[in-house]
Amino acid sequence: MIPLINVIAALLTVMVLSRIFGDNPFFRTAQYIFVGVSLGLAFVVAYQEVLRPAVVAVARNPTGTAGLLYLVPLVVGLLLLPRITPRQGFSWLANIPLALIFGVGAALAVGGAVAGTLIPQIGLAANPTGSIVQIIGTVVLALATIAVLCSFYFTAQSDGGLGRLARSGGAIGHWVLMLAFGFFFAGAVQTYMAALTERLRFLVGWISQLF
Amino acid sequence: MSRDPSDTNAHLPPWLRGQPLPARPEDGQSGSEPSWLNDPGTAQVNAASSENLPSWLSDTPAEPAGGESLPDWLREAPANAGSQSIPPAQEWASETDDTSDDSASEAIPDWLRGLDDAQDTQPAAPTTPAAGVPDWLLAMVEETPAEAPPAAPVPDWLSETPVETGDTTPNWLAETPAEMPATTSDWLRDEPAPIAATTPDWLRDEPTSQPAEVAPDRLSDTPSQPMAANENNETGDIALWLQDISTDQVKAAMDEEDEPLGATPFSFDSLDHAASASLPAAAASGPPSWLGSDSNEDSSTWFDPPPAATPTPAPRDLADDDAPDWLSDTAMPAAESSEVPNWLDQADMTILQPAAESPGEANIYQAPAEDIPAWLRGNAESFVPEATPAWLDESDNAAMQPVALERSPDWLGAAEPSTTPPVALPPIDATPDWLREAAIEPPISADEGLPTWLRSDASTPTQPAPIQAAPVDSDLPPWLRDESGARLPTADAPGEQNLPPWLKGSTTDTASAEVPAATPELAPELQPVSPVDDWFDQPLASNTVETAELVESESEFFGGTDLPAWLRPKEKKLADGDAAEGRALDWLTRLGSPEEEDAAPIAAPVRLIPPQRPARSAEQVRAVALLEQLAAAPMAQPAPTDAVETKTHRSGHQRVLYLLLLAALLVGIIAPSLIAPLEVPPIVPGAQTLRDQIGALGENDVVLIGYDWDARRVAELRPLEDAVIGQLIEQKVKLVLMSTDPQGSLLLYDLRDNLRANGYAQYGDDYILLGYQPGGELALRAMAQNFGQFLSADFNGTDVSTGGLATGASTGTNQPLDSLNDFSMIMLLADDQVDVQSWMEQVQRTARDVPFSVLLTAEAAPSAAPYLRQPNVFGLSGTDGALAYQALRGADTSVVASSAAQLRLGMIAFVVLLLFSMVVAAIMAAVRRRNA
Repeated sequence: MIPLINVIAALLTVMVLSRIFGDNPFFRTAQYIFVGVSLGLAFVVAYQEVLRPAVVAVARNPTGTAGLLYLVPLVVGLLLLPRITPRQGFSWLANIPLALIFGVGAALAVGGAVAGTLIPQIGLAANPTGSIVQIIGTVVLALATIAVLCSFYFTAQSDGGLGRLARSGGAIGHWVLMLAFGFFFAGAVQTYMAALTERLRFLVGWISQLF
Repeated sequence: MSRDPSDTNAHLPPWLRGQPLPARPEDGQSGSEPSWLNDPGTAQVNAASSENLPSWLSDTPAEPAGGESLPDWLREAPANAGSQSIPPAQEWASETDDTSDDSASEAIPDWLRGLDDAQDTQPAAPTTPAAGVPDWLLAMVEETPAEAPPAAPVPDWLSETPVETGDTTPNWLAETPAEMPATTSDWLRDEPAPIAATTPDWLRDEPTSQPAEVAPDRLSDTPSQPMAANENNETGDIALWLQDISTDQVKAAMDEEDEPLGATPFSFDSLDHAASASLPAAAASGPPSWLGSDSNEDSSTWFDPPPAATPTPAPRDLADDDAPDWLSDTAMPAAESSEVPNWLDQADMTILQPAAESPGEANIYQAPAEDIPAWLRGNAESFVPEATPAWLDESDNAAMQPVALERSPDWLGAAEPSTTPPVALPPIDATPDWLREAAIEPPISADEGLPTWLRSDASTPTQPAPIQAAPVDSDLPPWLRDESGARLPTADAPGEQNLPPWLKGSTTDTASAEVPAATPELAPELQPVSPVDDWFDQPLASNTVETAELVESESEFFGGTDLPAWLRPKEKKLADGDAAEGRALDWLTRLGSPEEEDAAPIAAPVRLIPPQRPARSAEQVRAVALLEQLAAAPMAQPAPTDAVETKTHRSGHQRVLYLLLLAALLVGIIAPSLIAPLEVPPIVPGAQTLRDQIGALGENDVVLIGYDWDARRVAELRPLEDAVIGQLIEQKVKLVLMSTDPQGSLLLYDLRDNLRANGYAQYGDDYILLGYQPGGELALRAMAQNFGQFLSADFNGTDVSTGGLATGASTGTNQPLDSLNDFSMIMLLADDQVDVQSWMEQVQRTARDVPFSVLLTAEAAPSAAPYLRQPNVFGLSGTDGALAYQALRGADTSVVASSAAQLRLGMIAFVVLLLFSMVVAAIMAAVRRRNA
């Protein structure tokens, strides 16, 4: 069984690597297989782990707490269905769950960003601890942050002192952004290089097993 | 046609000028005018008048009345002669209108005006100069001497006018004014049926039975203006200028004139009766009858004949004594009554019957010689009479001869070109002077294919106007001269004093009433027999209302056609000063055209100049060409070939780079010894810290592990999973597994097998698999707020809240898992920065005291680095972190080093290829620029 799975994995890996020679049916086949399997898996997961447990819970005790709890999201979910039809008479009903989703999502994002990102980061930057290197690093991080913000300050006066400062800080922030992008790119290259290496080791190992 | 200016017969009709005429009577009183001009019967009896009229004034075939007494040359007149000889009266009428500046009396022949001079009595002249009395009638009364000198030049046969009457004016002319209102130019309005023989095709197609239809518009137009106005007028058929004359006076005059001729006396009673009965719409004023439809059935009342009509006898049955009364009764010493001037008949026949006519008709031309008077016999054979009187053939172009109109009437002066070849002219001495001119005038035969009344149109413009210089006084007959031989006023240049009011501009008050109206419909029995010649003939019953409508429709029909110039109605706008005369002559100009048409003359075709096409600039032309090109090929065209080659080259370069990189990696995998210098275990600063945190956990600790990654990052996260989670499993740490990524839940299943393999036997006590939690960040927020609710249903929907792990029974602490703070550690396996941020913002900030470890890919490490600086946050990323963690755990160093070496080889190969590619690209760009 495992060898069969390894064969399939090896074939799909080769098909994906065939992209080196340009777009070809093998690559597209592997791509479509990946997309299909991913969507199939998502549907199975959603049905198996979301819908089915909820229905089972309500069916077991319709008048219980679970039933009442699932009744609200059920009604809200049904309100999305009028968007299926093009008739505009009832489509406005979908605005209710959509507004709920977007409103709650925005609140979570803003609240989480403020409480989970900005305050902790500002706190860390304002209260440096550790070695002098970390202190210098914190200062550099703060200045780099200001420089990057200046690079996005497009409405600064060009002839004033603040304007010249913003223009200079923007240039520094531009290079800071370039460094950050390079760092991100390096991390991405490391990730993809690790994936390629892993696939090549798999292929070499699978082929070595054949012979 | 040229005319000798010195010709003394300029006052005569051209067809008479060249003919030898008998000696003029010496008796100027009675013989100053021909008897046919003194015919009194024409005013009332057509039959009688037809006897007294020459053939050219008689209607032979259509009106047999009086035929018994008519000579052959009158009876033999062809029925269609009139059609052929329809005088271009409109032309000369319009011509008169064109020359209206001179006088309306220009249309009146001088020789007719002079008739007044010889009159001893004026039957119709009023005693007082009433407004309706024409001046020329008044002049006759005033200027006629008591003893008129004898007019020697007048031939005897023309001087047969009754002496006792002393009327030098022909009776039928004298009666004319009285009859004028009812007489319209019917012969001008209606075409006779045979006109189709010589008319154009567009006229010939019309049925001959409907004369009005075949007539041209301008000929068929029926005046209708005063018709209604005079409908109830008892004297509707009498001109205004004659209405003041008492009937008794006219009767007396008529009786005096009729007796010698033995004709039926004229009766105004019957005239009035007939006019009121059948001519309700007859115009009280109008053109003189001598210009009107003399031969028409609905002509003026002075032509109203007694209904008795005798059939026209055969011409051969007529003897010489069938000469007209006006010839036979008159005292013509030199000519007998039997010697009817056959040249008159022949003239008509010659003109009215073209050479192409049938032989039977051509026989008519062979008039018996005995009909020719002796004084004309010698000339009859060689005489080629004028086809029609010139005044009938005058074309529109005659307007170019205004002077001639003054000297002599155009309708007399313009000779009709003969259709027959000229023959020997009669001896001049055999013809009277006033007839010589016609004889010597060479006929014009240029337009033989055209009707005679059309031929003059072409010939007239080229003709000079010799009449202008003609010595008039010497040419005048005695009856047109005074005692001293000078020209009488009536023979002088036309003046308004001799004109009837309807031709004057002075009587503007009655101008409208004087305009001839449409001849009303006459009863058949009252329709006169035409006493005039064929060219006076008019189609019968053409004045009926129906005919008028037909004429109207015909006019409309032909109104839209492009008529030739000679058929277009004259639309001359009179000056203000000439308005009166213009109105008086409207009937001459348009011949009774409706008033509506007067107001809306036929507009000449206007050639509209097409607008000039705007010129397009070169830019517009290019834009148009581009638009056409786009319309022709709307789809995008493939890129040029060079672009394809560039892409191919680029792809080739990329393939080379890819292959080089692949080869480098394969060398490192296949031949690890080649990359031995690279086989160094990686050192990751955060791995040791994380290992310490994980190493502190035991079997009583519960760790929440989030699987928010997918299979794409299996190359990095799987080693991390094996290294970190492997330690947890190794330490028998209780695990609660969950995921916000569908694929992460799938990976959890793989972990479940590993747990079972490592001693995690009881589900719910050792581990709980919550599975996929939908909602992403919301689910995390919900989990952070109330973790115990999540335990109500696992990945199968099973409530695990009552399990040993959820209640804390399996951990021995009996601390239920109600919040995140109940966990010993929260561990996240994430493949991107968003997952880390979500967990940090929603979960970690809720349980800041719980160690939070993040296992992530190298790609997401830079983004998650700020979070990793927070306290109780530990992170490990990428393959290097996994290898470093494994190395810390005591894994095989060679394996870890080999794997690290392969990874480094790949990174080095990538950087080298990147730099090499950059150098190559720079060189190629430099070469390209140099070549450029």
